[in-house]
Amino acid sequence: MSGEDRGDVKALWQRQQEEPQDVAVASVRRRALTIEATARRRSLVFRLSIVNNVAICAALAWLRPETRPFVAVFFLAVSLAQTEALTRNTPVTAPSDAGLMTSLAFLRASLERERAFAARAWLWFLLPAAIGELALFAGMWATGGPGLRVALPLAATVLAIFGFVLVRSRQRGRLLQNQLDELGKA
Amino acid sequence: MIAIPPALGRSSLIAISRLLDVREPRLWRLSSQCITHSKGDTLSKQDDLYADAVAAYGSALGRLARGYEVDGERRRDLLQDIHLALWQSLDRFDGRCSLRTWAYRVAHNVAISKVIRRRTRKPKLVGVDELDLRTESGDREEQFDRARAAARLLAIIHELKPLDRQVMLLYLEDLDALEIAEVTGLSAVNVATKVHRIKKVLAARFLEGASHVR
Repeated sequence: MSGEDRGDVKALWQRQQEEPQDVAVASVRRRALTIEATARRRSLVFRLSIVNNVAICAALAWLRPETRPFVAVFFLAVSLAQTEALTRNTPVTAPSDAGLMTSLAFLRASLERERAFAARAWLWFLLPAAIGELALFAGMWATGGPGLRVALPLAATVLAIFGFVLVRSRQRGRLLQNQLDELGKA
Repeated sequence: MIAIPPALGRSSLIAISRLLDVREPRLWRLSSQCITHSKGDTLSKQDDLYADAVAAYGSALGRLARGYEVDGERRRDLLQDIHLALWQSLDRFDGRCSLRTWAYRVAHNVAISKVIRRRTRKPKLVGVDELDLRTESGDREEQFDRARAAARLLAIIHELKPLDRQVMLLYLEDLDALEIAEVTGLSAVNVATKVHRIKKVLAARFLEGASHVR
């Protein structure tokens, strides 16, 4: 450090060597379009997975009419989980009105959103998925497919995953609550 | 032709497709802005404001990105995200606060959202009250080396929790307590307390006496 600003930490900070930045409006617009295209692609993949679900369920119901009640439950449960995944499992990003929010408000909103996700993830994703799986097993059993010897281990596995995610998400929820409490004191 | 059972009928598909559109409005709005721009030659007010903000605070935004990201590639991505968010947000700028406050709010909020996303992989962050006041050991002359001093300053910043980090970054950018309060949402008294602590930490880590720190 030179003599004049020796010890002046603000000067040290402000006189750092600048890194090149591409800040032209055209570049920003290009980046916006790229992000938009990526979001559209992701949305398309998701929609295709729903179409795939519809196709499989429809084929099963058409080929094996006796399975229709089970297929219907499975379809609705999985569709619900897929829809929740699309609408709720989005990353925390700064909204377009970020300039209207103070950092404290933004941080609190982000943590509350994460906490709500951690607290309800089992209800939004796991419960529908578990119901769907159980409907599938019940359908297999009712139509003379593989018996309980196959269904029970599979059901136990689903329940074990359910339990694990439930415990982990509750731990996460407690951690986020602590951070929110800390913010409340700020 | 595949027969769709009544239980899987059109109504449920329509309901799902409506739900699928929940996330779209922001992107559609963005798309329409871009189309509007491509048809016209003149820069919009939003573009003018963005150009003004970049001219005045572009360097500060670059330094801010350093305060959040150590890795060069990620830092460039963060900086691009900040510029994108700033440009998008200026569509809603109504002059209720200064352009500087607005730019810093957007930049810090974008950076916070990144920090939150990768929080699990980060080492434990601490508050400014928990920073060690001890003087760094080592050769005094070495401390005055600019690069090493800047690296040490960055290391201190990266230790801090989001809000404390913001206060420190804004303090280093020469904002006063009221301006910092306006950006962060903390009370001016709280900011003043934190700034006082920051000065003590910086004095202890960089200097022989606090009087050298402005």
